[in-house]
Amino acid sequence: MAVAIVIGFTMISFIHSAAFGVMETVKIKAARYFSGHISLTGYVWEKSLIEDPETLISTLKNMDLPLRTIVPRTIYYKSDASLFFGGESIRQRRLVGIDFEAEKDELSGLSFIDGSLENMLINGENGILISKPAADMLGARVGDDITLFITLSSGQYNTKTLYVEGIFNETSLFGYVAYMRQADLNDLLLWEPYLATDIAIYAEDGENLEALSRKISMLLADDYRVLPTMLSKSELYEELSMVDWTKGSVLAPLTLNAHLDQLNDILDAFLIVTWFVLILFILIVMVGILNTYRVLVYERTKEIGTLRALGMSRMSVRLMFLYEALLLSIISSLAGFSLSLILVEVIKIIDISALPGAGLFTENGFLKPYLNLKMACVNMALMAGSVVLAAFEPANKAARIMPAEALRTGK
Amino acid sequence: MKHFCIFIILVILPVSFISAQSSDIEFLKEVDRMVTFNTTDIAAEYKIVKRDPGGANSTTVATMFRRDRANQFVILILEPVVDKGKGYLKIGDNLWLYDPIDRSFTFTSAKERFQNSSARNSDFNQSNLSNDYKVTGSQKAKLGVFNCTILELEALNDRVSFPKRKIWVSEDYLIRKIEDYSMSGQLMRTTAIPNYQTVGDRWLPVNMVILDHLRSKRINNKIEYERTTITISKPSLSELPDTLFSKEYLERVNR
Amino acid sequence: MIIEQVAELKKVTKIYHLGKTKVHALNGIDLRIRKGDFAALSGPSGSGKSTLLNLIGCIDLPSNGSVIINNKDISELNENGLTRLRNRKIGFIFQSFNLLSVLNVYENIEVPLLLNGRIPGKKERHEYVDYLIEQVGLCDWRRHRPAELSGGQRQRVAIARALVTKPSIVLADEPTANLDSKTGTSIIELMKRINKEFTTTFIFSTHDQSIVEIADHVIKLHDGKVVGEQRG
Repeated sequence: MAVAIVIGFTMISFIHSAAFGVMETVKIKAARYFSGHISLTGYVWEKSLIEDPETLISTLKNMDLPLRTIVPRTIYYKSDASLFFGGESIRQRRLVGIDFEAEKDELSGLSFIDGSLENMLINGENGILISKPAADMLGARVGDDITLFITLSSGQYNTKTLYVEGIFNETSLFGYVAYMRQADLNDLLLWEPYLATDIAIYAEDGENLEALSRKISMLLADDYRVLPTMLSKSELYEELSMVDWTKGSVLAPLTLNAHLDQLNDILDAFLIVTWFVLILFILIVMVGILNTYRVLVYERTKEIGTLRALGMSRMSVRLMFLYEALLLSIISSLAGFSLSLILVEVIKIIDISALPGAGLFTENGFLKPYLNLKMACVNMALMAGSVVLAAFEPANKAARIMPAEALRTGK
Repeated sequence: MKHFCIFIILVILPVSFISAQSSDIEFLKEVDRMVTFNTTDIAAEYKIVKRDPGGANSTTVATMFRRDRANQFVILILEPVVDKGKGYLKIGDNLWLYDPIDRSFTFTSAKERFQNSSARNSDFNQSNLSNDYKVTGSQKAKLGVFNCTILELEALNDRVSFPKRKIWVSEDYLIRKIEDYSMSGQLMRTTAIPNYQTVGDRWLPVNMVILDHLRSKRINNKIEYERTTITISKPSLSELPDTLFSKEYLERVNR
Repeated sequence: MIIEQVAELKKVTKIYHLGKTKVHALNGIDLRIRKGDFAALSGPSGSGKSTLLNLIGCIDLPSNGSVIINNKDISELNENGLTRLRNRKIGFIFQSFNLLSVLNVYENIEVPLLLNGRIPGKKERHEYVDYLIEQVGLCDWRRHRPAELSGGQRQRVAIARALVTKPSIVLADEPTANLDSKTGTSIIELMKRINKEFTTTFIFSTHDQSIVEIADHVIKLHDGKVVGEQRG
């Protein structure tokens, strides 16, 4: 019985830690890709632009809010950006122009198979970081000069020769992106160097992003036209279509959750599966506990009769079995938790990049599970509750045993 | 005397500037005129062969129907079999691509690559350099056997595919070579038009060779570019029915 | 002199239903047990000895009649009331000892003190349990588990356990059945000594005639009826 609980709790803790790790990995990648935990995009006549990003950043920094990094970005949102090299070309989902010095801490999670973030910080001008799929497609390596092709807002073509300073390992939907200096991208777009399209805001860990976004909107409302925080991109576009542009530019805040709106379905499905597995495990454990306790109560009939004869009340008999079950579940859960710690360390070193879609949930093909203590306590409480519930019927039965009958039995 | 000279300079310079500008426009108008069929329709067969750098060839055969006076054209793809029945319809500034499998029309851009070759859809437009570009520089040079005027052009609008161009125009006002540049001045394409054929009182290229400089590979220490060769044959000035320049025509042809 | 009664049975009947069969274990028993009695229930198997002990011990209820323990009719008590009565007023000694195998001698004896509320202070418990261990002669065995004890030693533990709550009545169902004659005799003698020293009422059932002879109140049962009663 204890073994069943240990195994069950180990699996539950492990699955939860994997799920948490997956969610966290996706969020970290997404924050890099989508301009922070809260992205503030400026729109001027429906076109992405912030005319005075410096003042806006200064205003944000002066707010007494748990924001750890606030940086400008220029993002080329059109999907026609292409990289050319060696006779091959590859389209990029987006181009991100970054102030690498200001955002280096947030980008430190980018893992490189060649080159580095430092290269961009040192050599940066006319440099570009491309993803492994792009590099493979183009046959490009660090040091190669590739041609970046975009169309301006007027529709005209523009190109720039850039040097590959790093190739980062990202194969998922966050991988079809290239990072370059904001100044270089602005130059390519024929913009002034200080202009931006977005402000990337990174919040402190554990903050409620929606609430924070609403607070930011409220505080900016005195000086800017700020749209309400939308729950998805499609809602934002709908809102933008109703803006009266004659009144000036607008700022549109979007949280990471809104950006991940379409991905959330996948993540939700993943969570549902983990909860399903959890419930399944708990049910299996409960059935095991129920059967085992029924046998246990039968085996201890004489002991129960003796205790009842000595003056133990029915409630005490019931509680005795329930406390035993509870103690068993707590000790076994703790053992299971310890085992899951080991399992987590083991899974961290297994490369699962071959699995379909693994690129989205892993860093370099490795899962980054982590055991959330709060979740572990919840799981322990769930397990304890389930075990006690399962033991309830046999405990009740034990309590109702007539002492005289019990003492008569051989057991 | 001094004032007279200043007056002369102040008058002559802008006048000469304006007259230089107007002569450039006239030059471009003449270049446009040589290849524009304003009084008749024109049809011809186009064979487009694309060669990837160091790689395979792919061939498209299409029939082109043009009505320059109305700024319309229709292109019907005949080969390869997998693309047979596909069509392009241009009416004014609108360009549609017809897919015979879906039986649907989708808007496309003149700037898009034509059938994934180095040619752009805009290459099939009638020539309109005099309205779309201004001359920013000119010089004389020899190109093979041709004495050419080289004009540097900058786009006047956003409709054209390339913001900057350089054209080599021979003494008969026919373009022999074009270099297309991006806004930053990077060479994107080179087009050579060695031969022309007379069609009525106008000219049509016999063949064109387009090199895409963005798509290049170093092979055996030599740079090879993606290359598209367009051969234009069987030109005809027969009048075309008005109904040909319509969506219904493309649908009907595919039934 | 007023003789205090600790237990009285008035026309007590007990019927067991075994499927469709009714078993009349007791048929109209009238009985009085005095305080300080050392009473033996004798009779062949099936005569109702154990049933009678169960009723007096409040671990079973009569089908008819009344069982009065310490002037309380047990049919007027609810389940909790019966449990409290058992814990405070009645001690049990079982034929097969019924010690808890996971507890040692000290802990086994202590168990009744920890049940059913009103737990005495630790020091008080400790002193009394040690005293009883001494009384039953198991000072050197207090930390040993039942598996390490002989039959006689186990029964001594059971006796000490039965006495720990200072009950009015100690019920012993065939206390010497699983012991050799010498050990059995010593157990009975211990019970007799305690009976004399603490005036605890002992009621035990037995087949053993030699042990019946030590009792000063003998109740003979046959087919669920009292067929003879002797006070010596």
